Amino acid sequence: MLGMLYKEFRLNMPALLIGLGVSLVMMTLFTVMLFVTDAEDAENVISMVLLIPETVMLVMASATGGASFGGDERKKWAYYTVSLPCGYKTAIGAKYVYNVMVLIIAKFLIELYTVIVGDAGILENSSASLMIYLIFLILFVQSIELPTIVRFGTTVSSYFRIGLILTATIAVCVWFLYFKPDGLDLSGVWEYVFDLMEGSESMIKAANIMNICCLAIIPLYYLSYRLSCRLYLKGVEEHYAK
Amino acid sequence: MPSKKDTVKRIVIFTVLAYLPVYIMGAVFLKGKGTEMEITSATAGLLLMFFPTIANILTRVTTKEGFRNTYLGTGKKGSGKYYILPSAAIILAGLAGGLLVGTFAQKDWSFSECVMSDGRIFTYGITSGIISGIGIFASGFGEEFGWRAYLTPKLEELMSTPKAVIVTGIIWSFWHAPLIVRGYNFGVEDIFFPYSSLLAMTVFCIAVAAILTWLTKKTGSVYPAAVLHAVLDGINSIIIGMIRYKDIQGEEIFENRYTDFITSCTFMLPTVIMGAVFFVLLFQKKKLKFNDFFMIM
Repeated sequence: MLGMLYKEFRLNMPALLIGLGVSLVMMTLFTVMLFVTDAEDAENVISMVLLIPETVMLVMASATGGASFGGDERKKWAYYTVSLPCGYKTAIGAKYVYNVMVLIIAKFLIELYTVIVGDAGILENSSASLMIYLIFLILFVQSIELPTIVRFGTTVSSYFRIGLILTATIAVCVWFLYFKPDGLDLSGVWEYVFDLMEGSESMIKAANIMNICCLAIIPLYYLSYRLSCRLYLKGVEEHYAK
Repeated sequence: MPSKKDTVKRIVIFTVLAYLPVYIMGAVFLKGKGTEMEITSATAGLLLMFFPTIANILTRVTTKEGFRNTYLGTGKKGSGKYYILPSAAIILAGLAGGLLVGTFAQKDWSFSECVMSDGRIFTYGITSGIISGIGIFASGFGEEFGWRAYLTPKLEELMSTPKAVIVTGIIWSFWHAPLIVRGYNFGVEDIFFPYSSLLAMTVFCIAVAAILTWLTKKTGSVYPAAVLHAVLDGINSIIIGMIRYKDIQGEEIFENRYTDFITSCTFMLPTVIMGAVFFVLLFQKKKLKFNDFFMIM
């Protein structure tokens, strides 16, 4: 497993460094731009705006995880991993572990950036602690996406992903247009959110639901790994290039 | 096998590299005592926990040891349960400690009046503690990659595992000394402060070191220990809060019957007992030897 992990990091290091580097540059630019405007309440604005590059950093880190599957989409590599003493399951497991590790590394970099900026007096309240929920969301999406990549290859799974996103977007729009009395007016949503934050009971209920959903993603991610192991050989025979 | 002289040299270099930044940062960035203790640099606070890892890497590089036996694999087959069950056990130990604190160390405490009795707040506290523990996994790894993945195996080359755990626990506890002498964990009110606090921290660190060392040796990986360390750090303050507070805003609290030192020791007691059990397990004859990990990696 350690050798397989090393291989994942070694091969994906350039993409990972570029992704993390670009995001760090974005964060720095956003911070500097807002800081030099000397606006009132700039610290809180910076904290909100930094959510964008922080999200980008996590998404780019997770993208290298998905790309690691695409990079090994070769029958020759698949036959080689099957012949190894550790087997193809360890190779797949290493990719799943690599996914989690890059997200942890990205989160650490986000935290480090926000504390450095906070110590410099530029940022008062950091939103970095919210990133753990985004990490769970990314892992949830990958739990569904990675077995489809393993079974059908990256090309077909990307169509599947686009189809899912389009379907979800259309469904949400239809719901807002025809089943929500206010149509596309989001003021009702914001009132609900503010009520949620003021009312401790409903906030705790919402937080409980979110926390339990996050913890449920851990076994889901493991099940995704088991499913990938089951689907791997069939995917190799039917969809992988020589 | 390296010579004993080389091993001692590496242990000394590692300890110096782990201690020096923490003591310097403690002197520069720690202010105040007791409840007024604060760390004036959040960056220093975040990086403190990574110095054992940095010490591990620098020691290996400067002594030309290389990077074998790093315990960076995910563990042997069947190690999955060791990522979850020990963390669940440590949460239960924390809850038991919290109930002990409420029963014996809080004035006029009753379970029905504390926020823990509310099922929704209890669920919120435990789940938030686990998630925040997962969130600080990097910090847990930062410490464990130094103490369990390097120092303890090096000490095992010179002495038996139980003795190595005791020595690691002592080194680990005195690594916290800049914080302890300012009242971290145990307050400043005890008459033997800071010696009693350092002694209590040493006992606690030896107990937790026993659990973490057993986990590392059982799985051949440092990650289960890192997960447990992170969950321990994330959950304990939440449990204490749920025991002490009468309302969710924390405006009304139960007062301590004794000093913070006694309260903290009471809270840590179940964890120390759990550590003692794992310490006994370390004496088992059928234990993995140091060289076995060459095969696993």
